Amino acid sequence: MQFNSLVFILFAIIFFSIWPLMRRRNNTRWIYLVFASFVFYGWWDWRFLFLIMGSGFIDYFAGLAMAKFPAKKRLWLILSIIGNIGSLGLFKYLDFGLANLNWIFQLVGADIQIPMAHLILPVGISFYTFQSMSYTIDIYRDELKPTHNVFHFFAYLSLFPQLVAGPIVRARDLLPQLESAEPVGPQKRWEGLNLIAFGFFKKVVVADTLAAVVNMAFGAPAMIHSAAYWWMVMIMFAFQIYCDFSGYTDIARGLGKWMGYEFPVNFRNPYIASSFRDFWERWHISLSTWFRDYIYFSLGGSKKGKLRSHVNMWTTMLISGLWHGAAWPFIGWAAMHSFFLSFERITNWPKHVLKLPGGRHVATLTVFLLTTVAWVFFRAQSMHQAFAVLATMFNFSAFNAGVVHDLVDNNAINVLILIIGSQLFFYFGSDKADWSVSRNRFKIAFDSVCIAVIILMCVFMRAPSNTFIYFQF
Amino acid sequence: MKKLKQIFSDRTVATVLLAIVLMVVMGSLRPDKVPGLYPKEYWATKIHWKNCADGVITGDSRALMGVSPEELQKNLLYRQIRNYGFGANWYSRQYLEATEALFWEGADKRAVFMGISPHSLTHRETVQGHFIELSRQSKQDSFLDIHFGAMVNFFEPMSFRDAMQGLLPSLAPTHTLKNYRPDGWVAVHKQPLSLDEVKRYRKIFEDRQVSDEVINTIMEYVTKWRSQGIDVYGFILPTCPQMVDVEQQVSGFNQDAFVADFKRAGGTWIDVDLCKYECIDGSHLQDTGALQFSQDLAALILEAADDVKPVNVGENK
Repeated sequence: MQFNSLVFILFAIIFFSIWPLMRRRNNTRWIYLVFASFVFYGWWDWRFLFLIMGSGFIDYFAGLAMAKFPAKKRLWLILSIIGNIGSLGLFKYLDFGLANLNWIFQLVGADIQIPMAHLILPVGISFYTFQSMSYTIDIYRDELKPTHNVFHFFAYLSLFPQLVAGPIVRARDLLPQLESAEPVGPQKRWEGLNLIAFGFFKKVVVADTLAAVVNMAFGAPAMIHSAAYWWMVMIMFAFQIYCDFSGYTDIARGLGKWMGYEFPVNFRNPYIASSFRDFWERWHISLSTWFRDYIYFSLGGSKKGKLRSHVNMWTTMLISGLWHGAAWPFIGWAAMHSFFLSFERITNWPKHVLKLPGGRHVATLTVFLLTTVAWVFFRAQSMHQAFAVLATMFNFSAFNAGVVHDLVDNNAINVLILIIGSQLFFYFGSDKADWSVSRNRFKIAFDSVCIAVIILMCVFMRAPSNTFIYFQF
Repeated sequence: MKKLKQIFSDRTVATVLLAIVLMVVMGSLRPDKVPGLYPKEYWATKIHWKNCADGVITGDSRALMGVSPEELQKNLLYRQIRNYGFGANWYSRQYLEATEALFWEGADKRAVFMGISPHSLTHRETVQGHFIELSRQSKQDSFLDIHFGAMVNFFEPMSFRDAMQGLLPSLAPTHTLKNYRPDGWVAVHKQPLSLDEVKRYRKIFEDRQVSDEVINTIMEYVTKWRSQGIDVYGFILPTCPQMVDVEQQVSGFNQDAFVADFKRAGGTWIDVDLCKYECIDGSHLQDTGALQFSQDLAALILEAADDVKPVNVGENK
């Protein structure tokens, strides 16, 4: 079930109508949450509910076993990780591995071709697997006590707003919240509505409108030789993926607030970052911190010397690239960011640039443009296409600005201007201005009208629907 | 009462109510619906047509808007003719297979009226026609489109310009009325007329030429249908003179060779006057032009086919 579908709206209306009755007692609340979440997920393909249950039961029992047999908790942790990584590897990475194996066979002249498995990739498998793993790892690290109630555990693991595309919520943050039966106050309801309205706006008005231009460019039978066109397409993709993903997160967080739960902030206007380190503290924060806490720190972080810290950072980033998709372009994307981060650590260039007059603008623009270049790998369907796009982007002798006029829809350009404008609003700190944070009656009424108009725009100015990009991960 | 007042004084509830009011206002500003089906209802119904006709008109948007089944039915001996044209459509194997499925099982007489445009003979792998997209529509979406057409239509995207057109029709620069008819024809009336499509199609043909593979597939099916006793009539779909020039110069379409192959495969070729009828945008026919063309086409088919005799309209029904 997608957030941007009529079926989900009906589902949400039914869910929230019954929620006040169901949330009072722990067991009733958890069973209701699990049931609703399974309906939400099973709507896409009910067979994969067994996968969530399998993955969940492994971690649930591993958690209990670690508490009961602390001397052998390392063994239980390994079993849990093997179970999780095993299912992820089978569904997500098997064909990638086989394709590369076949390529190696071909390279060495061996006449062997292993057939592909062509398994369906279960929606959101990377998200819930990571969420489930954090549960056992936290128990292993004595940062969390296991829950003894299986419904409590599955309510955490399968909670529908963030089940398929995050944010990845740690068990230590969500399990205690799920024990609370506090009614939702008016302020939380209002914050939830804001998040949901803006989330839908980002997805159905901005991301889906930009998607039409981007999909056409990458799906064209022949390469369009215009640097201007490809810069425009890639800038549009940068905002498409941001609005698509952060839109989903906003809706998830808004629904969470309506249920009485707080999910972590996942994006903090990443394109106004003035360094790559800053960018990664603003982009997909729940995943970045997951990798930092469970992989980067486990490898030793930056405590084992400068060289080792670079190696650890590269390893973490490359795994993160592979997490996004079983394809070389994702690894290329991660390698590019690793290079940017390494270069930044060595030269500390943002610090020097920021001291110059207008340095912040230069640094922010540089980070944004380099991030946009890296997105080429993320969006391209193959390494070959990625390099062809990059070659065109940097072939300024064939700038051909006229192609932009011919091929890019005016509506998409208007939406792009709107979203860039909104980013500048945050860049110049207007969100913290007195008039912006004012609580007078006029401002309250003005905000309400704005949200109502945004909801109206989501309904009548939405672009043809597209699946959320991060569903594939 | 006090509790109700409390609920409505909640800022969230008040905002949602305001949004609903705005939606109702905006939705009612949509230009009045012309007779016929709702667009999504029409497409969702059409893509599921099966076992429902003895005459099928095929082709792309030019066939879709250019041929009225009712006009053909008035003069030809078929009980139910359907227009199975789709926007941006091409003669893929999948489309031709689906065409066959429209015929009534055991019908005595069956015919395919193949509307040909060079664009419908181009092969597209990445740019899918409307037919392919509709074939992939989920069951839930189809159900909603067919059974809740009015509601789906009410919430369809609409620009503020559309809303202004609904509010003050006299201010609108163009007026386009589309009548989605149950027999598959989309009758379009547009004012003022333009030639916008000519430039667009020139660009399309520069990138993509008429495909021999598509032509071979058509001939394969014509042969197959003829062997099954299905009459197959082929004709070029009329358009404006400027488009005819573009198609003859840029598309790579060799009409003479195509017609020769078509006849060799057993089909009956109908020569029509390509530039006689009014076009709305440089490609598609105005509704009045389409009616006139359909009547002329029926007469030409009658001339070409000795065994097809005119019957009264009442008998057809």
